[in-house]
This record gives sequence, C-alpha cells and structure tokens, in this order.
Amino acid sequence: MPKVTESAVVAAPAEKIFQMFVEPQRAVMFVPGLSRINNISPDKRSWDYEFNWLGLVISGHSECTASEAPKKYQFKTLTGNKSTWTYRCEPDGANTKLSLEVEYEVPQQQLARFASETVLQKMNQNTAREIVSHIKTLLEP
Amino acid sequence: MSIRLRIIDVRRTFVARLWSRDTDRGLRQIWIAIHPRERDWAVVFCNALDLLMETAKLDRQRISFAEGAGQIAWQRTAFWTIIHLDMSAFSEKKRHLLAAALLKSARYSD
Repeated sequence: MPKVTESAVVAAPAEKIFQMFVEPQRAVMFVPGLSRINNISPDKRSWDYEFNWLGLVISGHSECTASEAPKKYQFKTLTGNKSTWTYRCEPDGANTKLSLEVEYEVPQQQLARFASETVLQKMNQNTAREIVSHIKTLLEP
Repeated sequence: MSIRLRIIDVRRTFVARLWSRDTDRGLRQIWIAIHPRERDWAVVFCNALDLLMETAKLDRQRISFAEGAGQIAWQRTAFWTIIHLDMSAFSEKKRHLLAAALLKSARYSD
C-alpha cells in the first residue's frame, strides 16, 4: 500500500501529545474535514467517523489497533478505502518528535473519475502535514 | 461494512461568520447560527474547549478560557444565535486554529 509520512518537533512532552490521540473525539479539532466522531466504544477502541468534503458527507468506522502510551498510537479505517494511521512520539530533550504515517489503499474505481494516484498522494501528504502542524500549534504556547 | 455517502447533512447547524477582525494582538469574530431547534451553546463550547485542552469557565451566556484572554459569548433567540468570539492570547496561527475548531463545533456538534 502507498504511504505518506510527516513529522515535526513539538515543544511538549510525549505524554501530553499522546492525550490528543487516546480521546477519539479530539481528532475533530485537528483533522481537516473531519466533522464528527460518534458511537465511541466504552474502551475507546472503536468509533464511527464523518468527513464533510465540499458538502458531501462520508462516514465510516475505525478501530484502534495499537495504543502504547506515550510512544505509539495506531488506528485503521475499516470502511471504504482502508487506511492505517500511525502516530509516533519520540522524546527529544525537552521536546518530542511527532510523526504521522498514513498507509492507504488506492481507490481504483474512483481514480479514473477524480484524480491520478500522484494527485491522491499529494492530497494525503498535505492532509498529514496539516494534522501534524495543527497538533504542534495546539500544544505549544 | 461499507462507506456511506450523503449529499445533505441534516444534523448540521448553519453557522456563518458575519464579521472578523484580526490584528497582531488578537482575533475577534461574530457568527450567526440558524437553528430550527434550541441549542445548548454552553455544552457545545465547553466540550469543544475541553477537547482543545483549554480550561473553560462558564458564566451564564459567556465562557472564558486561556485565563480570561479568550471569551466566547452568545445572544440567543428562538431560531438564531449571535456568537461573539474574542481572543487576545496565543500566536496568530493558534488563534485561527482555535477559532476554526470552535466554529466546526458550532456547526457539527449534536
């Protein structure tokens, strides 16, 4: 599967950054286009999501597949075009190196209609960059 | 389980920015929200600020955060609400991100 990665040094401890991931609803605050997180399971390891993309609502289901505080948090989208999102936090002195890797299936049927694989990769890279930048902005003074 | 597409989001509240003023020292915005049913703005914005890791203090139709350097207040009627957002803390980038996150909450929170 193709993947995109993005990273940044954040002036915050890894434990604080990890708090952004373990509460699934918090993702609405820093993921572009993500409008709702619903039906969160009591153990917070599965949830439904809704994206609003130019007025079109796309909803699906996700499951957390790894939660190793405060180093690694991973979840998978299980509907539509499957993807795996992995956040990693590595302490770097007083700061933390935050990285996000997104592996995704290329939607063959949609490609012919909407975009080439290269365009899709660029869109996903931009989204990953925005997410990492938003987390850094929210957690730094 | 397959992905679902919808053309219209019937749960969304229509919220538009009426006015915005952005300076080196702060950000002020006024929004209008049109809602056929009454909305509990205190719950909407307190939840959003909690998700943003900001400590919120509620006082009637006003919430302060960032130790008083941020305020969100609303004037409600039966069908619409005028919302005032005022932030004089944080970097310009963070102020814009917080404003966008609060606007998203106003639109999509149930």
